[in-house]
Amino acid sequence: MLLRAAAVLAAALVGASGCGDDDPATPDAAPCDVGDPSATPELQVVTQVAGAIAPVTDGGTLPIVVPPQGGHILLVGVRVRNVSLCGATIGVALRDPCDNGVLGIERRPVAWRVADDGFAEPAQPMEISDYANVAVCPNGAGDRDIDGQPYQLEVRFYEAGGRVAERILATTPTCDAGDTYCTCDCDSDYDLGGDCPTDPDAGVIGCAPDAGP
Amino acid sequence: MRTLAAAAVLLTLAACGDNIDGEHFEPWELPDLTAAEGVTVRTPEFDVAAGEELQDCYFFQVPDLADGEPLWIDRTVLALNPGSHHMNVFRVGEVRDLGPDDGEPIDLGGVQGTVIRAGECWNSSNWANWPLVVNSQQSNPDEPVLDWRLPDDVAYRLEPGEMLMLQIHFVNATTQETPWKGRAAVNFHRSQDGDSQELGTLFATQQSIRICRSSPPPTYSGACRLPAGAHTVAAANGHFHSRGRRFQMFAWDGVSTDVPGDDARFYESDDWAEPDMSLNLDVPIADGGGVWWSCDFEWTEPEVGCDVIDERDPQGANDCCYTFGPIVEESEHCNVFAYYYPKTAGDIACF
Repeated sequence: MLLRAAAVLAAALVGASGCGDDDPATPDAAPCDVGDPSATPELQVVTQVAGAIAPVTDGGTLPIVVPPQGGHILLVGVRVRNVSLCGATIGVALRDPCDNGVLGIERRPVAWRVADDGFAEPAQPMEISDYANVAVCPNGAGDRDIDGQPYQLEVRFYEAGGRVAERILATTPTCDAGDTYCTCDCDSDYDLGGDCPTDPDAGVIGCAPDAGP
Repeated sequence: MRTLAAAAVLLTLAACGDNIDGEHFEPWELPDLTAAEGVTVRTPEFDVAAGEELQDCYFFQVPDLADGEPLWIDRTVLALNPGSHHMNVFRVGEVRDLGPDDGEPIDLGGVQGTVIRAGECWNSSNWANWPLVVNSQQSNPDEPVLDWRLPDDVAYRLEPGEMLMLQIHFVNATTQETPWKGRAAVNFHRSQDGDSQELGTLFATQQSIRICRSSPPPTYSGACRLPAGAHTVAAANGHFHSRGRRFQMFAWDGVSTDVPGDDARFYESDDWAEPDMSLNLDVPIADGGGVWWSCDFEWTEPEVGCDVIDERDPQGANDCCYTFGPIVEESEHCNVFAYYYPKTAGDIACF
């Protein structure tokens, strides 16, 4: 059983960008096609929790994390099937449904591996470069806090040939409990370089403007 | 789009310039400003040894030149000796692991300050919340001075006592060389004509980039909205290292998730070492809109060898992947510097 699992894992690991070629320098090259590329693409939205892939559910929360470079980001990846991975990119946007404005967006290539269920997923789940790194805080554009407020998450998989698979979810970006650096950075009243706002938003959740001072 | 600066700025020519390997360099010298004219900042001259990259952070306070009132700055003149990779000035915000109190005292010409050499001055998370003031990547021997006169009626606002940080990066290695000594200077010229619109800044950096040997040439892109209200982008430049092939910026409506069309592009550069600072832009950004950028990269064989590159890779992919980092020879960047007006809220950082 262990041998079988190891063999599956070895076969499933795919290299950076997920494109197989004949270059012997390419580590663990993967096939371009995952599933049946002529079929309707299937796309699942995932994030990273405790170094592992975790599903992002419609209406659920999404952790706000501190990347090595600073700031606060959302880590959003995809699991896809029935697509061509070669030359593909992922794009993720956080949109405020109250005014339709995009509060953070990023598009990038990622590396893939193929899981036992036939879905391609982030090749190295514990690293952050195989997920979109959507910078959301601090944010000079929003009227509402990022932390603890409902937003719309738009996740797209772009095939090199032009086909796009997408999912749109409701999500609430959330700072870790007690992380005042995060709640400060993600407060709509925070001015870059300034002091941390102290408003509690008066309990307003949703499209009403931030009720803080 | 090069500035007209070099001609406009007083270049006090030394009795004779330096000559190295047949190249001639006339040392620049900016005029010392009076209190009525503005603020003068000068780093000392320093050596950059062969094979070395150095980054120093100089801290200084904005002097009180207007009886406690803010200083309005409508012209910045930045000078760098050849070999500089960049010069950035930030307003010091929350101090984490990099701050003025940890530096050694230093005379900066018109102001006194402290300096922290290397160490935490390399760590970008330390200034993630520090608003950008101004930057320059212009250090070629023929044009070492960037003179930016802000648009009519537009000026920076600096508060007396406000702490600023001047960061300079010099490289004397393979991809860039410092043939003479390192040196930098800034002159902040006070507005004399009652400018009424404040300049805002946007500093963005793409997170967690990877340019790997076995990957197709990657493109990373992102976007950042400006605060409420209509704005005009007045200047911009992009920053990456030698694997960078094309840096683009576009006006963005703040709603679309598609790359803006070519007609919205206001900045494009394929020059990683001396990218143009586009001045005198007049790019309208509609209310709710912002700036979209993209960085195209192409992997190239590292001069330092793949072992060094692999050593830095947090994923340990063993694929000679350049990752985010400040070292020109070993890592990559995709950084956006944009300047807009009017500033209707705080400056913008998109990290």
